[in-house]
Amino acid sequence: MASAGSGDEKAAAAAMITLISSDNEKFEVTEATATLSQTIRHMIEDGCTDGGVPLPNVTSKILARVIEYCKKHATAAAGEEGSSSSFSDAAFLEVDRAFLEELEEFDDAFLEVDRATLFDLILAANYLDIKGLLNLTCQKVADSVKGKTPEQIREMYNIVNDLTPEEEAEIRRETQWAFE
Amino acid sequence: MAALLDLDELVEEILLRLPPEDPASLVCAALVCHRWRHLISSRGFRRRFRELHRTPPLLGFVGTRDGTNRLLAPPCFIPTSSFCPPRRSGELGGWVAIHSCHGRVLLYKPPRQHTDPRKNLLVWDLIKGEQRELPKLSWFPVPTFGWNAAVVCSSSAGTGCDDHFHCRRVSFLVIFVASLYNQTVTTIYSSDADAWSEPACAQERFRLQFFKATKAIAGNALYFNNSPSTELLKYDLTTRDVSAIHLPCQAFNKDIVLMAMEDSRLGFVTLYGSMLHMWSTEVGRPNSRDVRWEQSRVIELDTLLPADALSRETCLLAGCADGGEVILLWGSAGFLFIDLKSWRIKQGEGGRFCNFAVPVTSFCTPALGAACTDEGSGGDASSARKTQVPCAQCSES
Repeated sequence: MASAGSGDEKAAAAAMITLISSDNEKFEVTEATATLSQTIRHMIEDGCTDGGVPLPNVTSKILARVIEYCKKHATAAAGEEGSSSSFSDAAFLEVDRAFLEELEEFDDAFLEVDRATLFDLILAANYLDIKGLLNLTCQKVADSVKGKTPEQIREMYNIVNDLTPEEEAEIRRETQWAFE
Repeated sequence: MAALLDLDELVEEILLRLPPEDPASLVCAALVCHRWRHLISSRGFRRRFRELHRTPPLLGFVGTRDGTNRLLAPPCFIPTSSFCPPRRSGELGGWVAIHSCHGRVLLYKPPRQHTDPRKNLLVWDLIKGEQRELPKLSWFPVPTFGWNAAVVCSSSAGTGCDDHFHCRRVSFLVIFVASLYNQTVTTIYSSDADAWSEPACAQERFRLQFFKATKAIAGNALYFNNSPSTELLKYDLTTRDVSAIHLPCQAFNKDIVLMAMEDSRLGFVTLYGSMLHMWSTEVGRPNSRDVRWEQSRVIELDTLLPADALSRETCLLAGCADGGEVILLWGSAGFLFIDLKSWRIKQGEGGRFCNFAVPVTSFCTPALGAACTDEGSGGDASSARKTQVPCAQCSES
């Protein structure tokens, strides 16, 4: 398990965490990687990680992808220790440009997954509280919604239209400009 | 897959990331189903949307074009986004857009008789489609060395307009500045009182430019062009003091378009031949007369634009968005937007002459009827009251 950057070698060597997926597969990761998840960070702080961290909501397939993401981003996060900014992953903005470009390429490739996997990654990012991953995956879905008609969005995500024709007409009336 | 879309919290995380410069996307999403409509029109969503995206996007420019018989045509909206004003501007024939702040556009109608010194001013809320004609200034003396006016959010008057959530919903002020023989007179219209304040005089003399005059709100001050452009008039929104800011000599006798830059700095852009020159400065120092300017960017349009896009003789710099990221040019082929961030060039519609256009920036999240009842109403009321405090403080002082 290669570490993403030399700066974290000491911390990484010091502590390894075992994550256990819902299908009982064990993943050993460095603490630097694991603490990208605020959920796991809190467990480490509370000393509740002995014997492994069970993650009953995450399958091994998804957990492997999440770990892949965290390993790559662990160095970036280390440079932005203690950032509490919500929504945007401030850690992302602060690290040097070359590494950012590399991260962007990684992220683009990382998002090349089917829709079901993307949704599972969002659920896992939310459960594990990994802001960068949540931002990345939600943005990908938002990009797919952008510029689509309501009908196209419903079809894409199997959503039933439960608006009455009157409600729909009212919205269209109030926001007529959007359809011109 | 279905599980994710059943969780409001995560659907909201996704919808929050729709691009603010494409407000039609939010409207389309609100039409998907009941749950999405409810999420998007909640106050909590609108607040978080502003918090996430921070800077209000450029929606377009409002320009003034010549109409028939030398009369002004109604102001035209030149979109740079998917937004269109909800109300036709047809009834605004003869009105000229002179300034804009977060979706509100200040318009002026030249009086029929030039001897009538009173000013016709109107604020057009592009997002809501509302128009409010301001009471006429009855005291205004003639002759003068020019006047100008700008609209600001009430919250700008004390704290600077950095809270873009509240500024769209609270009241607004119109700052009117007139230059007399040896003094400058200011008066402020407050939308709450629907009245102008008593005029205040300062012993500073300016020669305010009106036509093609741009204004910028940078930091906690408002800046007006002078003519010829050797200095600017700075109006401090907190202290309500008026002072002069010197411009670099390179700006002399040129049409300059003012803009706010990052970090509360002031900037301007000029078009010289086919070269766009951008300048910026550090402002806000107590003695700002000796403020330093630096040329931040020079852009050679000839290499950027298609050969026949603009003819140099007729090419005009019509407007510029804050930050200098979008430039609006008018040439023989019509409008041309240059996005200096992405280097994209877009041809605007309409070839009629446009002298001057004001950029309109605002968040535009649909507040759909009765659906927008969630969260925050108590806090909003107190913040609306809070915005009145600076006005009271200043008028007392």
